[in-house]
Amino acid sequence: MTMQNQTSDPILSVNNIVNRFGSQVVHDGVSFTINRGEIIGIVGGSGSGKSVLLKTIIGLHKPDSGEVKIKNKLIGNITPMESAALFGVLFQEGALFSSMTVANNIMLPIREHTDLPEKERVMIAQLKLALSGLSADTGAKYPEALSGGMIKRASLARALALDPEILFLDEPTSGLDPVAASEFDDLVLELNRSLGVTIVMITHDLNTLFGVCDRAAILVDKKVVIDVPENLLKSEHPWIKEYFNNPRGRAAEEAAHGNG
Amino acid sequence: MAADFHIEKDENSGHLRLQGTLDLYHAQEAKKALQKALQGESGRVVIDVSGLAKLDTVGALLLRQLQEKGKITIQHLKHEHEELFKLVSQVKMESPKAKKQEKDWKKLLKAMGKKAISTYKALIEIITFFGRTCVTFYKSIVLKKHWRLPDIMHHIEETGIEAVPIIGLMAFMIAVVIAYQAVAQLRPLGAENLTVNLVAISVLREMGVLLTAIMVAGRSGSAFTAEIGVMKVREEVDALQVIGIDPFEVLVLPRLIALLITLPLLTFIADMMGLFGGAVMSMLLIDIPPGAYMDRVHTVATGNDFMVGMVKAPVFAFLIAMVGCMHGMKVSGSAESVGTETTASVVKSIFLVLAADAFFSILFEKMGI
Repeated sequence: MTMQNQTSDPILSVNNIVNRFGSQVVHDGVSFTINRGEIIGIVGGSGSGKSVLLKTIIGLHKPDSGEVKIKNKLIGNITPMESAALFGVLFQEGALFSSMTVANNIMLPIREHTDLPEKERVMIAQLKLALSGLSADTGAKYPEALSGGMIKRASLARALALDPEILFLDEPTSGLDPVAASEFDDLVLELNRSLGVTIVMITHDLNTLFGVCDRAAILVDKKVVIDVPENLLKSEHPWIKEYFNNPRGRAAEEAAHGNG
Repeated sequence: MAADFHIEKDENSGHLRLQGTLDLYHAQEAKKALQKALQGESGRVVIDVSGLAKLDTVGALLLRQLQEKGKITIQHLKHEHEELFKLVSQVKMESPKAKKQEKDWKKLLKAMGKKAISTYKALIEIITFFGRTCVTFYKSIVLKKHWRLPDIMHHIEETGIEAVPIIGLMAFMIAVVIAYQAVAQLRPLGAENLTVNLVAISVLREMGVLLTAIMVAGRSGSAFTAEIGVMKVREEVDALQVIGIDPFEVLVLPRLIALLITLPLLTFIADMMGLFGGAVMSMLLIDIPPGAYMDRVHTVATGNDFMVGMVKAPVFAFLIAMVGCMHGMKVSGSAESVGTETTASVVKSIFLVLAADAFFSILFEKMGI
C-alpha cells in the first residue's frame, strides 16, 4: 500500500451531501475528505447511492444540499476546462465515443483544451495507450471492436489524456476475468505510484479493496464511514460486519495479507 | 498555478536549467525553447531539471525524446519525478503499422467492386427478409394464430391515431397549394372553374396517398428502425431468441400488420381533408359555394379515382414497414449504427414509395383507369 496517510493534504472534500429522489433519501449528510495521492474505494450495497455520490462529486448531479470542494474550490465554480485538467473519469461501460477510433477518443480532450499540433497529439495518445497497457494498433480500432478489458483500458487512457490530478473509476474491474482484474489493479497501483494521481473508485471487488485501496468509504445508513480496511474489519456495524465477514470477504482479506 | 516554463543557462558549466512547469499545456513552448537553446550546441549538453515545479507525462515524454536524439544528459531529477520519468522512459512507443499506399486506379476499382458486392448483398438481404417475414407470418399467424393483438394495437395507436392531426393538416395545406397554382394558371384561360377538378383528382389519385406515405415513412419507418435497432444494440433481440420467441413474430409482424391497417385509414383522412381544403379554397378564390363544390366533385371524380389512390396505400405501407424493420435488424453494436440505419431506412423507403407510385401510374395508364 502506498502513501498511506503519509501527509494530510486534502485534495477533495465532501461536506454534508444530501440527495433526495422524491421522498426517498439516498444520502443524508455524507462527509469525508480525501488526501492527495490516496486510493479510495467506495463500497456499499446495491441501491446505496454509490453512483449518485460519484456523479455528485464530479458535478454531474446537483445535491439537494451540501457542497463538494476539489482543491478548495466548489465544484460548481470550476470551469469545464479546469475540471477536465483536474479529474478524469472511467465510466462503468467505458463510455468511449463509438463514432471515433480509440486514438481519437484519447486525443479529443487534448484537441479541445490545448493547441498542440496533430503530430504531438498522436504521440501523446500513443503514450497514454502504452501507459494503459494497450498496443499502438489498438488506437486505430473502433470501440465496438474491443473486448471488455480493452474498453476499460482504452477508457482509462482517455481519462488520463490531460494528466488529471484525480481519477474516478466506476467499477473498473467489473466484468473482467480474475486475471484481467488483477492486472488492472496492478495498473491502478502503478499509475498512482508513478503519476502521483489520486484515485477514487467505486468497487464491488473485495480483492481490489484489500489489495489496492488505502482507505475504504462505506455507504451505510445514508452516510459514509471511511477508514482503513483493517479497522473496518473490526467494525461492530451489522451491515459492515456482514459485508466483510461473508466467505468472499474473508477469502479476499486472507489473499491480501498472504501476498503482502 | 505554478510558474510558466523557462530555461536558464549556467554561464560557467554550460548546463541548461529548466524552471517552472513542464506539462501538457506548456509542452509546445517548452519544445520550441529547448530546440532554440540546443541549437549550435555541439558537445554533450547537461540539462538540470531540479528546478521543475511540475512535470507530467507529456513533459516526461518531451525529455525522453530529447534524450533519444542523443548527446543529452538529464540531471538532478527531483525525487517525486523519478518514478514518473522512469515509467515514461520504459514505455515502448511503437508506431501503428503504416498501411500500404495503393494506386488510385486500384482504389477506384476496389471501391467499385465493393459497392457492387454490397448492392448485390443488399438485394439478397431484402429478398431474405421478405421471405422470412412470409414464413413467420404463415407459421405464427396462419398455423398458431398468434396474432399478438395488444402489440398490433399499440403500433396502430403510435403510427395511426397519433399521426391523424399532422396528416390532416398536411393534406389540407397541399389542397391549398394546388388550388392556388391551379387558379393562377387557369384564370388567364377563363377556366378557373376547373380548379375543382384539378384539386379533387390530384388529391384523390396521387397527393393524398403519396404525401401520407412519405409522412409515415419519416415518422413511423424511422421509429421502427430506431426501436428495433436499440433493442439490437442492447442485445434484447438476442434475449428474445434465447427465450424462444421469434423476433420476427413479435417485432416485425405487429408493426407490419399495424401499418397495413393504419396507412389506408390515414390516406382516407388525407383525401377527405384535401377535398375539404379544396372546398375552402374554391369558396375563397373562385366563389364556388360548398354545395356546388360537392356537386362538381361528384361529377368529375369517380369511384375509380378514389380507389386508385386507396389501392396504393397498403403497398406503400408494406414497403415502409419492411424497409424500416429490415434496417432495424441490420443494426450492429454501436449507437452510431442506429443513426446510419435510420437514415438509410427513411431514404430507402421514400425512394421505394416513389418508385412504386411511378410503376402504378404506368400500370393504371395501360389499364385505362
